[in-house]
Amino acid sequence: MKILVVEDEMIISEDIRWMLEERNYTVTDQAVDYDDAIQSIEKILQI
Amino acid sequence: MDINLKGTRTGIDVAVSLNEKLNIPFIYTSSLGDKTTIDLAKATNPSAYPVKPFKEEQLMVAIEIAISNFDKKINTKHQEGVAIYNDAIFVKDKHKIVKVFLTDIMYLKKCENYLDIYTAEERFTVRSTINGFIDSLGFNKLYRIHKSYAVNLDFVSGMTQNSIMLDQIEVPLSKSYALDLKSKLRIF
Repeated sequence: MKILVVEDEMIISEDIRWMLEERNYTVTDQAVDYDDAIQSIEKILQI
Repeated sequence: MDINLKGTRTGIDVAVSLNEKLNIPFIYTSSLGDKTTIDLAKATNPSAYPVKPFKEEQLMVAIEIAISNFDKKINTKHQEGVAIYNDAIFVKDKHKIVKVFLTDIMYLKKCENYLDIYTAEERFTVRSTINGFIDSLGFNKLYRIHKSYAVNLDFVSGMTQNSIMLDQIEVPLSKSYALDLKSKLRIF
């Protein structure tokens, strides 16, 4: 299962990534704003 | 996904864009708990909204439930409009139900959340994913050749570096699928 973390505070984003990876989820990217998030989703889905 | 992001656009804007094009589950994580924000968030159908600060377990439970609900939704949806019967499927075509033999399917084309099933003479549309549809049929002649296309290998009449010919029809072939396809067709 691939998960994208969209969070503008890097400390929280890293914390969430760490929690997810501890449980064997794949964090594909960490986005901080709208454009980042949309680009990451398009990249993951190869749109 | 946080609601307050860098810049002027919010996590809710991301969700709106997501919902317009795709069917992907998401969870909001925000410290905003006011009615206006909650109402805006609700309108985008999030899988959950744990309010910050949340405990690790709360987030993990929200994620597990979101994934589980999404799996159930997908497994139901990929059968929508299709009934499988031995070597055929029954699909809705306007006001009637039509039997289509699996061997008559020439190729599949994905269009957003829908799948067009092409035979030599007709096209039927069902709500499905390519992989979900192929897996549910267990028909090993249908082979994915592109993110949006799968073909029936029995109809392949030729190929180029980036396309497959099905008699007069040409469909795109991705490099990532070309090697496997050549191996399957024993082309070296």
